[in-house]
Amino acid sequence: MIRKRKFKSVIQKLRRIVGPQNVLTAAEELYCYSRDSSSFSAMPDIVVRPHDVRQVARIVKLANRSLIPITPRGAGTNLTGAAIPLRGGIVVDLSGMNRILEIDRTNLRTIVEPGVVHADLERELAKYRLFWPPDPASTDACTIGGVLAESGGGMRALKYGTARDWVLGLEVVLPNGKLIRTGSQTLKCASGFDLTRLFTRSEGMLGIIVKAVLKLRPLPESLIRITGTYDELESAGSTVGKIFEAGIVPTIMEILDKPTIEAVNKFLKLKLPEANALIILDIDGTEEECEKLAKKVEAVMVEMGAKNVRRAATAKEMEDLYSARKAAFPALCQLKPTILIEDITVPVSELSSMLKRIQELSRKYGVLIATLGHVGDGNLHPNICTDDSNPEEWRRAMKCFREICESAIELGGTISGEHGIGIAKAALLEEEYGREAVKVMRDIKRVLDPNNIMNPGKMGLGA
Amino acid sequence: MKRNLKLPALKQYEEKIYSCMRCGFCRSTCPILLKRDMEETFSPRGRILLIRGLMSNELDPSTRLVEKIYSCTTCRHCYSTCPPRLEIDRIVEATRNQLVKLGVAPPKAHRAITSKIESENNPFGEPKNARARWLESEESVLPEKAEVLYWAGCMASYRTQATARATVRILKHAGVNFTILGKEEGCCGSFLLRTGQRDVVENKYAKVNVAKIADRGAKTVVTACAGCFRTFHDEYPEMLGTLPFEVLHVSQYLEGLVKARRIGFSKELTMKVTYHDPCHLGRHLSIYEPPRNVMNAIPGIVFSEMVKSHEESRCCGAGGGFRSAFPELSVSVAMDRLKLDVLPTSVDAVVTACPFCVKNFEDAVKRGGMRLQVLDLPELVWKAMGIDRSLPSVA
Repeated sequence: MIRKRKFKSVIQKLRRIVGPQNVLTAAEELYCYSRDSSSFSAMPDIVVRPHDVRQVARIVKLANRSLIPITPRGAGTNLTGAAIPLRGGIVVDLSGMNRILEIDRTNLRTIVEPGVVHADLERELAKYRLFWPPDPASTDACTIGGVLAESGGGMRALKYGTARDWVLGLEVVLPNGKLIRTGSQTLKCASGFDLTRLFTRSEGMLGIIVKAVLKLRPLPESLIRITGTYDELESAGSTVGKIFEAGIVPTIMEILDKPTIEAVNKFLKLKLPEANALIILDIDGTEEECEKLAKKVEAVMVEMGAKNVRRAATAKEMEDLYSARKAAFPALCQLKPTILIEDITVPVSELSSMLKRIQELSRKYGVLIATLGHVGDGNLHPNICTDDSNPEEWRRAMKCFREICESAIELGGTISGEHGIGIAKAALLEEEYGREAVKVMRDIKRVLDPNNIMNPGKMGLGA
Repeated sequence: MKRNLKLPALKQYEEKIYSCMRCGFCRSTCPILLKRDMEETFSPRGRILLIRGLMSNELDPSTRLVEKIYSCTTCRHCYSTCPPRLEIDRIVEATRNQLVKLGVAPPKAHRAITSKIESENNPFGEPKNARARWLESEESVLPEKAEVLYWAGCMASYRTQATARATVRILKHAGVNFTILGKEEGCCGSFLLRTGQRDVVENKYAKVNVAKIADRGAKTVVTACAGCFRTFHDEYPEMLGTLPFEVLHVSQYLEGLVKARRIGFSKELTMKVTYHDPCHLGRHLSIYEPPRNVMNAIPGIVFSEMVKSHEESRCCGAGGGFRSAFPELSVSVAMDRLKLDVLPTSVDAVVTACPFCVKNFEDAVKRGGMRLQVLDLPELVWKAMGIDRSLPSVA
């Protein structure tokens, strides 16, 4: 009740800014915004749904003046709790700001609002034979604002990099409500500090991205999809470096381990070979280029002990393999009630060590780990299949989760390749970077957001 | 006003409800979410959260919450992208059932329809004696008992009567020994089931309807209504055990008649058409091919498939009691389907196999001023049989 009274005048002002239908305050409405795709939850006091930049700026200014925390949210698909309103306050739901403002074939760029759904953008760009390379698995739901704020990746990150590599410029509403422009609309820009990259991956803690200029590529002319199986998980891991040494960077290079293959076969009624590891690899480019590189890749795979090395001959076979990879996550959901999705990343040279450690940790803690992932860029998803309603099992899973992250750091890797830190990995950030580096992050946060209103309590950067 | 909800009918879904990881994959499929500006509280994931909140007593069954639970066409599209395969439509129906038992549902619009069903045995409140008025006099002589019984359903009896007339004509010309219940036919209970009023269907409508049909000696019941079909095919047996007759959708029955050459198409029907999969026929019962096979058997027809078809077919917006509670929004969902998927195929007509889809599309065509014909499958077949000239011609 006290809370309600405190927010009463703020609610009235918000209604004036965005219209009453875009301010949600009923318990059931707030409840729907109390969770994202992680296991965390916290109730907001208000949800507000702006539809243009000016509205966002006015909302943030009001919140800053009233010292009310703000949590920006796209589609709430993140896996780390980044969209959870940990300190209550206002959730700013940006999913209604979903216009593609421009697709420019001459300048190879698109300008979008943050709420555009990734798959919608991909479909629209394909009409012009263009694409934006980052391709998170949550494409059908996730919004561009979220992909940028978390620097999402996906399968194509191997050849093309993650979101931060494909954004030219941003418009950001700062925690004081002022609007700034970062980067440029040009393909090159060396002017001033690279604020674009600072806000990309800022997890909604430094401001709200309200517009983005994204860099595009023409869709490649041709694509060859190759698969191969391995008796040893580790030799599948070592294959990556050997392909690089042969002078080739595939578009995607995915790995599925045995538990994952079994789950997918059962789920999709497919007959993928149930080996210890399956590699799915794409080469894109011109037809001649693809043919030449594919031959080389196949030779390296055979040399590394791969069996059943073959190319997808038909479009259907190609699609089936892609569906198999995409179905890995749903298939695992059938095994256990809770799936802890990990996204550690190690240098390619350490892949086989990391894969070995994952197997050891699975045995050590007695938890089922099904590993799949973007092996080509060293980004693995050792998914811990567990049950969060069983406290004993959950404790073991969490210990295993932590030790997997620590192993990645030890091997010179990172605790997150594409999902971010949020709440889930807040305690591990300092382990990865050391105290001084995290202090720099804290200082940046303080300079930009002295009242600590933007998504407070995340990333281990303070209250 | 915290009350201990205890939602026993949801017990069987409890584990499933908690297994929702809120991945959001359902967000791209929900026709209502799209119409409600992607607001989380109207997403399938949001509905599951609301139900979870009810189960855990964190939420009260407020009017607003009830409205959100009823803002679902039960189209089952979300099921097709859900990683843990949550049958959100079933969970929503079970929740509605609980809310009805608590006395906080169904919403006002549905209560009005329920009382019309109680008094006139149809959701429109039309006089029950007028139920068989669609039947033309020269065709009204049907046997009391027959092998096959055509179940028209309320929508075709009172609103989309062209479907009922076409079906009867086709059956006559094919020489099928069939009958209808006529004035004795009543509500199958589909509307009541979708809106959470299962108990009355179980205790009354299912028993009464099955007994009436059995009395007519029918071994096969044919219906052209996707809603009636699902009710007869799935839900009556759930309630009563195996029925004393087989239940077929008209698309299946027509497919059989075509195969057995009991109906033929003498002339070419030069027409470009596409097919809209009704949710309750397609995603709910996996009947995708029979209507397509029937259409493709018609000479001259140019059939073009929509990008979103079969399991991915977009909902017309009429199902689950949604049309009656939210008529404006329901028609705008139909407009989405036509604009986004049907019109890009540049067809003369969209054919479907459910009178609810027909009605909603017709309203959408009218509202949007579109140049498009909407046909129920029996109408198209009758037209293609080339016997009748009274039906409007198709350009």
